[in-house]
Amino acid sequence: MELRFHALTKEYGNKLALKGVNLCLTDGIYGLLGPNGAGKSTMMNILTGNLPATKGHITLDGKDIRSMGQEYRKLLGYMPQQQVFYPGFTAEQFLFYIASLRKMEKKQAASRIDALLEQVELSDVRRKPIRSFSGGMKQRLLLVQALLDDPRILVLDEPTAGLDPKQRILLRNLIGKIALNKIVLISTHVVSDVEYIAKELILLSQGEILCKGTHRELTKSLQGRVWEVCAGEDEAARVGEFGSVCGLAKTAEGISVRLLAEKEPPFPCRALSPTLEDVYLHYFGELG
Amino acid sequence: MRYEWKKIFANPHAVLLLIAALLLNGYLFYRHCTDSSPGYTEAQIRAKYGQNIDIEEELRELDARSLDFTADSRDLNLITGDVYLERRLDREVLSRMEEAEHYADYLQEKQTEIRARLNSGFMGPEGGFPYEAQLRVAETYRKLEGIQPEVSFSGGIAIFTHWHITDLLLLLFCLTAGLFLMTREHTAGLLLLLRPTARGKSSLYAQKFLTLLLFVTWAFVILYGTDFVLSGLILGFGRLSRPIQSVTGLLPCPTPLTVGGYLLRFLLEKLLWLWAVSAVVFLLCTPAKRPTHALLPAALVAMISLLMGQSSDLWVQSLSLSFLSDTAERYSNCLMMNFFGLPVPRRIICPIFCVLLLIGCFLVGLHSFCKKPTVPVAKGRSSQLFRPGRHTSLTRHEAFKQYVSNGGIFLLIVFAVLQALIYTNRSFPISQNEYHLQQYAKVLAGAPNAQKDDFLIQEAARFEEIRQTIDEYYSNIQDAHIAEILTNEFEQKLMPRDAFEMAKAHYENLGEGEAYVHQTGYTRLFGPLGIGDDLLNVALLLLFLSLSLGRTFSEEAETGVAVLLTTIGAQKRVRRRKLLFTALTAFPLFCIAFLPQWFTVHRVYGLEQPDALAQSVTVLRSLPKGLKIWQVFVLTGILRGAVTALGCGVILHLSKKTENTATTMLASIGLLVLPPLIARLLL
Repeated sequence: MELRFHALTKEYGNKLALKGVNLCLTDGIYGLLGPNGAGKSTMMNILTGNLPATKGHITLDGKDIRSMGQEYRKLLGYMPQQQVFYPGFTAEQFLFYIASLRKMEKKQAASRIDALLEQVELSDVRRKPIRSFSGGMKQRLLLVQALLDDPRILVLDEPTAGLDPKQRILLRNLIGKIALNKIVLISTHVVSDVEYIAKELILLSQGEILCKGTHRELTKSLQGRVWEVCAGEDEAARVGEFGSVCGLAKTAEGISVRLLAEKEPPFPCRALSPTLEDVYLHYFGELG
Repeated sequence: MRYEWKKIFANPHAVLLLIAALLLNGYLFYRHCTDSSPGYTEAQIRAKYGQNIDIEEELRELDARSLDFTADSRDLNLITGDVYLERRLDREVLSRMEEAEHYADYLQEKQTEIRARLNSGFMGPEGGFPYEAQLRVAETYRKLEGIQPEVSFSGGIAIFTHWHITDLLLLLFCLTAGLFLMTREHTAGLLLLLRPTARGKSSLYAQKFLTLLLFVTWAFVILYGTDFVLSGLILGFGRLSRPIQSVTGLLPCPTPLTVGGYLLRFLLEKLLWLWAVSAVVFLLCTPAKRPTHALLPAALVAMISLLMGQSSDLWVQSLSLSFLSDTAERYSNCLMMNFFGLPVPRRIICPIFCVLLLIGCFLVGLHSFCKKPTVPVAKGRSSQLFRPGRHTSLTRHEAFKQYVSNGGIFLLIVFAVLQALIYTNRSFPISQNEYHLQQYAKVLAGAPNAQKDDFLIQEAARFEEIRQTIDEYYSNIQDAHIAEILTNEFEQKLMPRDAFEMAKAHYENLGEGEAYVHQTGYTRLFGPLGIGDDLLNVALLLLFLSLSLGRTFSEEAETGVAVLLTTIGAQKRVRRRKLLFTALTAFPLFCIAFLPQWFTVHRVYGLEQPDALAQSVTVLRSLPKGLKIWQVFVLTGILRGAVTALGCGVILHLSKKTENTATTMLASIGLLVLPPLIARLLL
């Protein structure tokens, strides 16, 4: 399966939210990274049919998704950023409602709901009204509704917002497990969510794709530009003059500064392996 | 408080609605000031007052001219431009002038009347409440002796103070403030962001309450200000220092006031009433999590207060919110209320009750608001009685949303109970005359024939015979009292004669193809009383439709589920089902709204011979010929159905456009519920 964006443009009045985005996605997980206002949600809303594009179009295996109608929507699972529920419904009731919207068979829906609720650890509260759920529980329920009909294209907008570390890992592993034959697009600005599971990462800024590549490719481009600088407390402030500071930690010797710099800084230092966070900071540091 | 004020004006739809209410009030009041339905306008009455002519003389002259049927009745020298209309105008002005001129006689009559009542023994023993109340009334009117009302035009004051549509429109402002200051924040969970301590909450509640009072006062100033300016410009208020008894309809006013003083009191008491009503509305909005939870109790309070207003018990009637709004009525009579045996004037009790209601509602609301946990305690289990099974039927899911989640079933039950209460309390009197008419209808029903002609002749002869017998008794017996006792039995037999004459006249006037049909039921349904009932039923139906359907489309936008519907591509399927359940909700509401009236009238008066021509019924004579009575029922049903469908369409459109339940319900009430209520008041 191949999902292709052709010069996708979106204008809000005079503001260009997407500037002719060209992109090709095949089976696997894609992490869409970018700061707030980069155009991630706009891109996802166009992909899910909630917004029309001003120019350009998206094709699935060569067919324009607008002309595919229900055939395309059947393949689509979407977890929106906002927590959208009927607060008076129970978790189970809401999922059966979504199953009815998706025209699923009762038996199939029941078994999927049971299995998914089990996987996200919501089985015990399936008959409780959603209004009594915590933010994390709602987030997991929202993921379940997106996965309900086993979609081939899964679009997840900020899926880990409001989750505790254990739940984050649980969710990450679940996505990793189910993504074998799917196109999964995860929008986030939490780098660690996609660092280890994404096949490719797409960096979006001000409506444009800055770069796209695997974890290795992106980090490789920063090889030899990430340093651990050991400085005294009085010198620490000066380290920032030689590059972007990615982190600070107090050690027995003084201050340990993680520095992103083109050249080796004039302090006692050693080269480090770049991480995705360094990549993020490299591209969005100034914007951030 | 500035931000609280801004919240009310933040919603453009609500602002548009309020602007429409302001314009509507001005337009309707202008029409009221220039109303010429009696054949003349109030401005023409004022002109007549200003003519300085002998009106009695003019009336005599006009009477003489009106007898000449060959002459043209038009005369441009007359104020109305027509002889017949000018006569009516003269008579009206004369009666108003005489009322003011004979005020001293009125007071004397009042004292004589009270003395007669006290002497008759009907008022119970001395010291009892009825007796003491009469004494108090006598004393009150005695204090007015010496007042001489001014013979001058007072239509401006009368029209300004007897106009109730402004009060009705002001209720829309109360609801808007209540919903936007309290319920909407509750629904959106914004109260979580507000001050969490009891002290902070009480201060916040007080600010919101004060904003509400300021907002309704602002609306009051604009709406009543418009009325004041219009009546002042079109009709004028006259000399403000003249006694209030100079004003038409306020002759029995038991207070020695000037017109200016009365106007001031009127406005202050009206504002007090508005504050009290706003406090009640705010109290209902305080715990409400959804607009329906506030609007349904508010509608019930309104209905209860209307029922209370019709009560024969003076306390119940006087303390109803509907009666409390009628400030002018309180000044047009002198009624004493039994306050633990003491006679207290009603015009004093009412404003005191408004103050108590205002303070009471504020305190109860404040207590409820401060006691409420800042972070809502989620219930561990669902509070809904019905749980749908594990199924994937979209139709059943949408039915559940409409009837259970959105309270459709509950609203149906409430409406049915309300109509049952209304129709069991509404009086459908059967007079002796009506009973006799029903008996004659049993004989005369249907097309005229020789047998019925004979019956009428025989019945007329029978009455004539009885009449002659009575005359004989009176001529033979000198003592009238004895004659009365002896003829009593015959007089009883003569009682149906009035009904007979009516039935006979009706029978003899039947046109070709027409049938004799008992009129009362049809007159009750299609006459002025029936139209009044219809308007109330339409208003109630549209109110319950607004409450039941107001969330239909806004629910998805408010909860955000619309995004999922679009992604899945299920909007059309969901919309089709929503329309289906709109129809399935509207139909029972339609039946509950209109069928009780038909059934009750049918049960009490009978609706016989539906196959007869509509022309056979007097109130239906203006309808096209050839139409049958049952067809009139069908057409009426279709018309009402069309009104219902139009109402549903407007509500659904608002729900879709505004994407906000509170705005939808408010706008529906303003656009759909108020017009029939206004029309009923104008009837």
